[in-house]
Amino acid sequence: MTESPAGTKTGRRARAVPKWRRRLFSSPLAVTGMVIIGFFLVVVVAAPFIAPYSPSQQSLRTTYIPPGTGVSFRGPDGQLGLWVSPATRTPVGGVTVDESEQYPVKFFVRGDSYEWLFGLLKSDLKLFGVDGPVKFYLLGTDEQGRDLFSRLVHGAWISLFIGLIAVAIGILIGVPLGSVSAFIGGSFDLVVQRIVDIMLAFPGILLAIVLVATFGTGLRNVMIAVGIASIPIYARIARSSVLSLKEREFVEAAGALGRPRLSTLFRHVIPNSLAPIIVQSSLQMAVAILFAAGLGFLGLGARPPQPEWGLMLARGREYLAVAPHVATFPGLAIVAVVLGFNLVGDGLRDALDPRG
Amino acid sequence: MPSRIKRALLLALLALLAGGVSLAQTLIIAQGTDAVTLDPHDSTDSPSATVTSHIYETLFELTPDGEILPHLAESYELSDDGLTLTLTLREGVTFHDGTPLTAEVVEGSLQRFLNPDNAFSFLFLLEPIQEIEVLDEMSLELRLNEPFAPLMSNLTHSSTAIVLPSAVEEHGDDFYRNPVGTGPFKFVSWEPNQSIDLERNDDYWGGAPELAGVRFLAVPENTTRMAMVESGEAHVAVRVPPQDIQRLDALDNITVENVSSVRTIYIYFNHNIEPFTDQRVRQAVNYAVNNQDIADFVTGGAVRPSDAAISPGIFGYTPVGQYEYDPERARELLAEAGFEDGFSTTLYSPSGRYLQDIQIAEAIQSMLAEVGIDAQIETLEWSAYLDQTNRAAEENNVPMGLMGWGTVTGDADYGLFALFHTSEHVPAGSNRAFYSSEEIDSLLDQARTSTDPAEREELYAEALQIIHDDAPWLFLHSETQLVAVNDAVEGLIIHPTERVLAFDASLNE
Repeated sequence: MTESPAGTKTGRRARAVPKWRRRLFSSPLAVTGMVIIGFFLVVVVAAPFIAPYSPSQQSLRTTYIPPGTGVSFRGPDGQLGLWVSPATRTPVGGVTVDESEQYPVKFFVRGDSYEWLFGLLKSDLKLFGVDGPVKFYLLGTDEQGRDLFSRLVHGAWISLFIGLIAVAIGILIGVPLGSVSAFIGGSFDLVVQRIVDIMLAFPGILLAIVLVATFGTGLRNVMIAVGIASIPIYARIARSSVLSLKEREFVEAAGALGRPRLSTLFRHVIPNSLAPIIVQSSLQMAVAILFAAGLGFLGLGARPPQPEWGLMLARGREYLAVAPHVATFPGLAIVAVVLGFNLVGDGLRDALDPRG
Repeated sequence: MPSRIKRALLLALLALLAGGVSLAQTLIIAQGTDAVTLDPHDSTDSPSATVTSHIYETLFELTPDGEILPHLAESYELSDDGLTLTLTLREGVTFHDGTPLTAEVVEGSLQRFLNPDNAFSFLFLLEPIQEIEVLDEMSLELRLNEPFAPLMSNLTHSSTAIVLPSAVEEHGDDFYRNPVGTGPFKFVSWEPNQSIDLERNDDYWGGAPELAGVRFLAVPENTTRMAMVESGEAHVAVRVPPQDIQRLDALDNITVENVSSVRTIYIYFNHNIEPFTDQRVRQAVNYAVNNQDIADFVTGGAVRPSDAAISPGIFGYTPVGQYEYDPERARELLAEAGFEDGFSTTLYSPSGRYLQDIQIAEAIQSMLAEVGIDAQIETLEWSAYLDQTNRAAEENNVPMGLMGWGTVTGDADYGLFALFHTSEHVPAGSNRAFYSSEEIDSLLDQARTSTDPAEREELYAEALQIIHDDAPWLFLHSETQLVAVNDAVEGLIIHPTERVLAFDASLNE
């Protein structure tokens, strides 16, 4: 307790925490963002329960059926509810609905069995489904006759996971790089920052494309490429925070007390410069998800039949004129999740702003 | 100052209007990809062949009905032993630079094509020619060591077109973008990956075409290409995606032409890679895939399920049967071969090269999963795809690959020899499956040298039957060319060899 910097730090944090939190939760936009992200997190965790069907189960006789086809709100005897009739595609374009059969859509029905939480839980319970031998396509089907809703749900983890890993790579490499560069200064700083300049000179997506083209396509390489593409921005932010902090009294005090410089950096300087990095991470998640979708769209990311949203968007585009829903829903999903992270990022920035 | 600007604007407007008038007589064709080269000898793809066919001409011509007619050759005589082909050239044919067509020019052109140093991919078309002798100004003799039945059909191939040796020499490495031919259209300009402009050859020996010019646009994006023909920006758009057929056809001013093609689509099995060394596994895959469903639902009924390794309309085609969709039989065969639990493999597919290629690959992936075969799909950009699939046996790790082959000479030799003969293993030829069968080799050799068409047909029928039973491929379908054409266009030829020909076309706008 004799080390005053640490003491003041904990003291300050104790007062500051409720303040930024209060600010964050009083911003309706930030709360909306958190709700959106929370929603997608639930979807990721509960994917096999929420998605009624397998994301890769094809059916060539139900290709690109628009949402709502064969669905009615009145049953065979006029009962209210959601009822589904079998719909099939005829070879040349049209869709026929057999209205003589109708089956009710119900909550909590039995479906394909699945394993949950890495095999801890086995179940065949689905959030909703049809009580009968037809399928209910909530958002229609894609060009291979797969349930679009199930694909979106099962694809959610891909986008979020890519975002997470990419941001983690960016932080783990970028922050130490920028901090050390600022802390040491001199010609080391000069060299590191020029390298960062070079990386920043490339638009992020271009850098990611170049990296994927070099390493080869596939999800893993997309994560690495997008991660590398986010290193320079973290390096820059960490550097500027550390530059402003390293002349502060508590850092000087730590030095005066004989702490090694690097230890001071990691114990005192970096923890105090985290606010802008946290803000950037939320925004960077959005950027990384968008980059990943962009790479998927260009055919450099996920491989078919993986339900990656960017890839789904790219494939659906071919059907835009006849079946706009195939491209629209993956597009909306990307927009929603990116918007969510952007809103939270903006909210965090306002909440953590010392001048506000 | 302002009045000068006004005048300039007025002039610009007039120029635009004038341009509009001349454009009205220029036929605009939107192709899927740009030409790779305008050197006919070096071109291997249909978009290049489409353009060069307007500029250059061949000695013989393959009509859309499959008939072989003399073209730059006015008449010909094949000796009784089938070893000498005497050609008499058409009088009054001149190249676009004014040079007249003579026997010497033809000899020079053929020598260039045959020169092994040039290593043209289609060298095998004319390789049996041993000697070329100029008899007089307008006639020459082609001599062979042994009879070569497909000689005349091969001389219809757009890559055997007659080029001007003096132009080759003059332009050197730039010859591929400075074409000088004898055809009905003259080359004007080429903006790579955008457009190629041709203008009417008023001195064409067959009478000048009605169109003032033809412009080829390179529009890889399906949706953009279709939007262009819808909005009138282009008169013709190739490769209509099946899902758009109905919608485009319903428009007042557009007709979707459906012309059969000589292109067969298949997935070859690499015979050097387990488990495709086993005939039962190859057959099992054939039984596991429902190619009728793929034809009906993935390509919108726009293709024809294969019943032989070549398409109807090709000399030597005989229907030899189909593997009926039978997943039970597939599982049995897999079990017999020791794969009760299936196996894992990789299916290579191009994306956007053939009609619905990646959709077809995905459909097959899902059908194979039904019988326990786990096939990962690997899609590669076209040139990378060709590079991977073209490698020699030791470094070739493509177990299954989706390919298409257009038998554009209309003769089975072109469709079978290059794909199944042992001497044609990649990278020397196009036998990507590394298929090798003494029986097939000898049948194809015989059919090549026999001069009796009936005997050749029998030999090919036998070969096709053996190939069917051996199942070196997963037999899929023959493609159909779906071309959206504005109704103002008349006289356009959509050739089964996948070329859109505007020689006799006109615009009634």
